[in-house]
Amino acid sequence: MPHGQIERRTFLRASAIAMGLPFLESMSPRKVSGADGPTSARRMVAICAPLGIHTPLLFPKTPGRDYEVTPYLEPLQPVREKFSVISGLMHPMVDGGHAAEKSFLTGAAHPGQPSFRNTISVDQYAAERIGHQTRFPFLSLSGSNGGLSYTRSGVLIPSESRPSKVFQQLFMEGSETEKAAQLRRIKDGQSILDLVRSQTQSIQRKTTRKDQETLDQYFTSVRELEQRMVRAEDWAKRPKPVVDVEQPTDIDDRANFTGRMQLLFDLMVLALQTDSTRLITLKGAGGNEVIDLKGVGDGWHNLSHHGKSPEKIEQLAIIEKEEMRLFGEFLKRLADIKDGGESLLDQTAILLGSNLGNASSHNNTNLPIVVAGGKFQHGQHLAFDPQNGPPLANLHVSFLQHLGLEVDQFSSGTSTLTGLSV
Amino acid sequence: MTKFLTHVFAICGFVTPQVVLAGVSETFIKSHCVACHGPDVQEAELRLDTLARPTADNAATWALIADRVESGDMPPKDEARPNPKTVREFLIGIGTELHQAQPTPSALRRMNRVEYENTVHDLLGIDTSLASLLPEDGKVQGFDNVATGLGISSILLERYLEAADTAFEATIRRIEPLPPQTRRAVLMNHKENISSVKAKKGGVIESEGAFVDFTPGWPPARVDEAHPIENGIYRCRVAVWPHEPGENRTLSVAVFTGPLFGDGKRHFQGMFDATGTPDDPRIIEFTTRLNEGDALHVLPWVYPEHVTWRDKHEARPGVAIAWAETHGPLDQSFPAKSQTKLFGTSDSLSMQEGTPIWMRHRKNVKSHFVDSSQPREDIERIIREFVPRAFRRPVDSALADQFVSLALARLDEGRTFEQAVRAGVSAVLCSPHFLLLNREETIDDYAIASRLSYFLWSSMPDDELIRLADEGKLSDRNVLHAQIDRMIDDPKIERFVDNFTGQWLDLREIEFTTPDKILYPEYDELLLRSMLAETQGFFRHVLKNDLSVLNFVDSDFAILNQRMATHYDIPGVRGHEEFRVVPLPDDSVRGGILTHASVLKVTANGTTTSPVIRGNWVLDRLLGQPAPPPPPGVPAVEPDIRGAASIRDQLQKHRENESCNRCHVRIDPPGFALEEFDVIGGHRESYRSLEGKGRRVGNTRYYAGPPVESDGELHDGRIFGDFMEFREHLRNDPETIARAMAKKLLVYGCGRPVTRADQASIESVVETARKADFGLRAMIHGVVDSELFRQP
Repeated sequence: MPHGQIERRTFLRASAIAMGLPFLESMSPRKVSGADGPTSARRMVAICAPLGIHTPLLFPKTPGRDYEVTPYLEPLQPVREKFSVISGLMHPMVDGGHAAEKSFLTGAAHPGQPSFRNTISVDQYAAERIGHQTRFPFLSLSGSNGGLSYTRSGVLIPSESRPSKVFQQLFMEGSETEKAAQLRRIKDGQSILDLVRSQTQSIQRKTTRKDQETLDQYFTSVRELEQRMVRAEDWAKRPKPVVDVEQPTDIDDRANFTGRMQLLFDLMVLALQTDSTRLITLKGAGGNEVIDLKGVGDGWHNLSHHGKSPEKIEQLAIIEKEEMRLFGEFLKRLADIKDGGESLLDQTAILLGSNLGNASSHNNTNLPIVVAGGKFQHGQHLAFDPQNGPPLANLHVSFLQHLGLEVDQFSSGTSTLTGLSV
Repeated sequence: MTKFLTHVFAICGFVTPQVVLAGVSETFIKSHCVACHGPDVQEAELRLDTLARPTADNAATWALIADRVESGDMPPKDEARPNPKTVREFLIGIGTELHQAQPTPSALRRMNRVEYENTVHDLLGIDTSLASLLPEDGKVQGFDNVATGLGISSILLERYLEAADTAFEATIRRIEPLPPQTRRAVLMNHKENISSVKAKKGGVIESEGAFVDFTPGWPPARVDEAHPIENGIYRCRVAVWPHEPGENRTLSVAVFTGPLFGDGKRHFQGMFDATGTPDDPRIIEFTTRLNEGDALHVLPWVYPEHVTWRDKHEARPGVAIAWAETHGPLDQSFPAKSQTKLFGTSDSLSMQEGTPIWMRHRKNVKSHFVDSSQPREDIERIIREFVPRAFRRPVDSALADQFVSLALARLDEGRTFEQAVRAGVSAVLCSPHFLLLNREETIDDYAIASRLSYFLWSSMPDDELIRLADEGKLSDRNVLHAQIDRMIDDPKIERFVDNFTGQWLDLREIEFTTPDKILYPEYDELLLRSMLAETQGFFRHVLKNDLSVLNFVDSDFAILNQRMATHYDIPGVRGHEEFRVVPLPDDSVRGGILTHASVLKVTANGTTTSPVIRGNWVLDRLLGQPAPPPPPGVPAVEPDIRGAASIRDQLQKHRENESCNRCHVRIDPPGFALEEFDVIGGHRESYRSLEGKGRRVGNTRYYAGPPVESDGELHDGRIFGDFMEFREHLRNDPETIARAMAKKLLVYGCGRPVTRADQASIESVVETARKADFGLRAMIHGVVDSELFRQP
């Protein structure tokens, strides 16, 4: 191994420990973030409902603080001052119906086009900068398949849809043998990456190709993973947070929408509460299944293509109201958990929305957006002109700033979202 | 002409032809474009008389001009039309100039996850699922194997480490297999089945000693005694016969394997006709991998559907299941074959007993690990043998040394022999030399072998291809083309059929929507599986027999089973299990993939059809001229199934807007023609509606909506009265169809985006195929011969 690399590795290890140290304290059982100062932890959660949210039942007619309560906002009223409903937003140039879910957190243009290439999602942008602060830089969850998080090179990050598995990673200590095997894998991984990096470099040196992008990506990825492994090794030696909750049993039956989503929301609360991660994305449920709720007799996806049929909309609303009820419960629980002087809800910027403005026509304009928690001005219906509204990515900029990042631009966003900042 | 031009370049370099080409396109532009894009007027702010010849900087503008001319948008309808030959020459000219103006982007890419799994399976001789461990791949130009869509990230690398570990583990069998056993379940001996019959659960009965099931739902037909008690490969058999099938009904049985409870993890093993009698039952037989405790789920698929309260005129049809059995594990090798393949057969190797494993049915079982009495020598031998196979070419010893040292270093750190080999093998599987394809800068025989195999098998070359590369024979045209034919005739070609049709025709999306139960009561899983098999079978038939790609537009045959034939109203086909070539009557609307239920389903949403979505689909997939995305801020057309507003009226309004009309004049007409087909591919004269006046249709719960109008006018003024006339127009333009097909095959076959600059490659593929009546197989040969296929 060349001399220079040893130095770099040593440096990385040292710096990772230095970065990690303050958080050792925060890992004490059942405590949220470090109680050691006025700087509070900043977190974010982003949820996308892949089959849309029927906006006539969501958006109030009146803008401002005195908006009337709509059926979907009803379950959120207990935390009325902690959220805002926003109408009139869209990602400019993002179309393609369902395909637009790929761009929900990235804002990349024309996801339905044959030559589409995605860009980094807002949570990953943040994870690159603040992810090292927690055992898990981020969590990408899903109630169906796919996910919302994309890397800088536009690769979809596999999501986890089994709560039991996430719980195990977050909170369960393996046996001594398992821990030893884990450390062995990390060590092996490090030496493998070391070799792979030097091989990539040597191909790079030899090549006369002009477009080195693939090789550059390969090289950068190896380096990033090496750094993460150093941190992983570090975390592997520390105890995991203790929670007095049993490992959940996964629910395979997709018709049991309530049960499945409940498990995911429970998990998110635990992950935030124990400061296991500060960045969570969740692609909500939504497929062909006939949801097991009274009054629902047709597949969810079909119902979303209601074609204005009142019966279908009625059934659709049953599911979506349940979705909002679960979301409301989630907000309430976060509001009740105190960390220092503030609630977990105040620390966490939360987005619930969809890439479909109207699921029946598959359009991607005037998106249903609810923002809760975080350091924002809430309690309002923020109504923008759908023909002339600011880009949704402005909200992403607001979220990044909430996380303490000095960012003025993200994707098509050029400033924070007007009306939301305090 | 094309061939000629290509050859001219090869001989003269590029000075003279460039002048010739520039001359062709300058003349074209002068006579067809400058009136509106010239010194006096610059429509769309485009001036062509002063536009420089194609360079890397203005390539996008030239590509756009070419697109517009090719699709017939330009020159506009009311201007004089250039003749097709002139258009072709103009396009080839621009393409060639673009080709020279900019370097072809590199073909260097990583494997996608399907290719990764196939490659590791072929390399190690395992069948463990690996693709599911890796992130989804991005698609470019419709395919997930295109260089620019295959990004690399640290997350991906992390998963590669995990996948390599999983793959290595799968090569080793940890416990000695039990000797093969036959486990047999007689259904009416099982107490759950007996009590189901007693309680009449789901109406199940006993007949002739067998358990008769009527629906795929509850209660399950339990065959617990047949469940294997250990993981392995098993031959499975199930005895069935039809119970009261009624007239003309063939009862079908679907068999899935997987855990007894919970959905999702079941593997479809096939659908089988329940023929036979109680004395001579149909014995369904298949061989598959099963895990301990896996059940055989035997599900009756009854079509036409029998509704008990409605169909009182006939006895309830069901499937009698007498017994089921599994025999195995058939794979008895210990050490496993895959282990021997990787570790070799040296006497120094041994299987050692490790930690005890508790098993209900066996005592004193211990997990085994691989050990060696000469660990250093064995590691070196194993890794050196493995590296060139994995890298698909000879490897200089310095490179192999790196992996050997890594593994030996593990050994020196106190790891076991097996752990050291594991580290070495994992390193090979994470190396850029393994994961990156097309990394060679000079295209030698090994590069050709790999390109062929990733094109046609989505995997690494086999021994024969590597041997021919060793012997330097793949440069021989005859050998090369014989190999292509061998590869197409090999069972691994199914990977091509699956991946190519899965993406070209969107068959991967077949389950994305479920048709509305009220509007489409005739939809069932038998239809779903059958429509998929129809289209794959059709493609396979065209490929194997080198039939013309024009069959994709219109064919005088179809590949059908009874379910599809009934769906298409074609008499005389019995049995769901076998798909056969059925000649189509002259007056049949069927023929060509646009009439395939699968294609009609993936282009609809389960409730409604949209001419816009289907029209776009036809432009992109069949004509190779995708429409640009809609301008921002245009409201989408919202479907209305209440029976009032027709989608056609709504689109008519849309088209009054000139900026919409420019594209919709091309998009809508194919969509209008396809309105003759509903969301499951049924042929219709009127829409089905959830609301309506008067009586419901037949014994269904839907009403007859407005009549379907399927006439229209193509953007070039040709009119059609219905779908069949529309199809006639498509068929009369074989060049466009062939060119579109060539382009799709080039994208998929070369794993790189195909642009205007690749016009010469497209033309050369079409040219090769033209001599063979546009045969699909010939076209594949043409792709391999194309310049693009052979570029670094």
